Amino acid sequence: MEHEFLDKHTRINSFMHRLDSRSKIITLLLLVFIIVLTPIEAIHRFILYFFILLVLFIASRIPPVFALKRFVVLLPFSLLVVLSLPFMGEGGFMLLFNVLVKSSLSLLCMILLISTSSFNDLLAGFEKLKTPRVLIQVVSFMYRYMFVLVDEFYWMKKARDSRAHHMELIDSLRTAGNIIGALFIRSYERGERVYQSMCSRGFTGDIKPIKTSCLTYTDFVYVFFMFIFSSIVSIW
Amino acid sequence: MEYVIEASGLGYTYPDGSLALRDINLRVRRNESVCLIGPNGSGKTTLLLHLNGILRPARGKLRVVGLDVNEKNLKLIRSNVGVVFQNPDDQLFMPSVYEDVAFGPLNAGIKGKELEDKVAKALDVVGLEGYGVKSSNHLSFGEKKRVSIATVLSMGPDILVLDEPTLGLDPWIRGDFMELIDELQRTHTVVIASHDLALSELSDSVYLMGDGQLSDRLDEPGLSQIRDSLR
Repeated sequence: MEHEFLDKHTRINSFMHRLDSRSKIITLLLLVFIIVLTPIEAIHRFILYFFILLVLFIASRIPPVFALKRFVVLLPFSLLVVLSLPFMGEGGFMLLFNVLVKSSLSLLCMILLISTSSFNDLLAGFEKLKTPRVLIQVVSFMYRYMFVLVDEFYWMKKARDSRAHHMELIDSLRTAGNIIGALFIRSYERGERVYQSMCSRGFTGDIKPIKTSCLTYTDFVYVFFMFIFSSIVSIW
Repeated sequence: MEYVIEASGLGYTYPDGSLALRDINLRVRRNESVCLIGPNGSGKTTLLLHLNGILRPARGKLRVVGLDVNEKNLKLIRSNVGVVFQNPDDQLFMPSVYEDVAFGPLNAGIKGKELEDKVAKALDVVGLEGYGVKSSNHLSFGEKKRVSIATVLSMGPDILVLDEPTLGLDPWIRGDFMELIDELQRTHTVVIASHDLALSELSDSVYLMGDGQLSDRLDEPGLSQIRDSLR
């Protein structure tokens, strides 16, 4: 297994991990919305947002270094967007500061969300929150077979490397093209076989969900607290 | 005598024109275990895919559990015939083991406590109690093979169709796996396609496939001749 990276730290037993994914999705998305809508002059509010995120991070017991790493990996994307802003004329720096602070805080929200729930729990949460089923299924299949594909890609790459010691750029690009083509055909054929195996088990075009509900008392308390907190901060 | 599988003059040609099956005659009794041996590309998998109507006969006749294989009977046939595919990654497509094992019964409209029982029992038979919460991505190959079998056992089929069940298993776990197959053969009609000759020793009847054709039922001398020629 070379691809444990996605669900890393999602199995810690902490307050945040035990919450139902629905409560986390709702509260953290709400927080993102409020952060984005806060006027940049209200710096004290941003400090409060950061403070509550910090508390949630501590409650999640995710290793700080891990969270920081994720943050650093994602940060360049927002940096790329804001870099040109200071040259936009008057108020450019304010704009840069605005976007940078808001995107960083939003990133922290999302890192918290994806690090405290496994991918499948997240999908189940979104499904229960009435996200279109087709969308959920596409993402779910993608997640299931991404690992298989990554494995196939690794092996093809190893097979290439063991026969080609050093390649010119143009040649290596050409073989990369072939590998991608082969992967495409393999995925297509696998899709056919998976569909056959689904039909074998009575599939008629609709994946039926298993109904489970596990919202607990803690969930309600947490969601209630987050709503109260958000309301107070946004009128303060 | 009651036959659960009856094929006569069965033939199939793939859309690209290659002839995969020609004039297959096969009759399987209830609770009989059948092993189809033969080299790669001899048509074993193609024949298996006919048994629950994934592929339809181009020529000849095929009856499964007393029903003609056609659109009308498809639902009933598929709930009676559990096909386990060669590659477990094709068989296990849901996020968790539980959902994969529950997939068949759910499609049959089973839910609630009954569903839970069926899933738990199927996992119990293959020796993987408590594996429900795991994700297929995190299983070993042998475990994936076992879960694959559980995914069809949960549907309560009369006939189990296993495509290359021991392929890719290392000798350390292969023995346990053969025991599981032996156990299943006592309670189900089992059709196995394999080039693993050891599996043929577990079966009541053995047939040789080659070039899309099926031999007559092999007797002991015929079988040992094949074993010797491959030694």
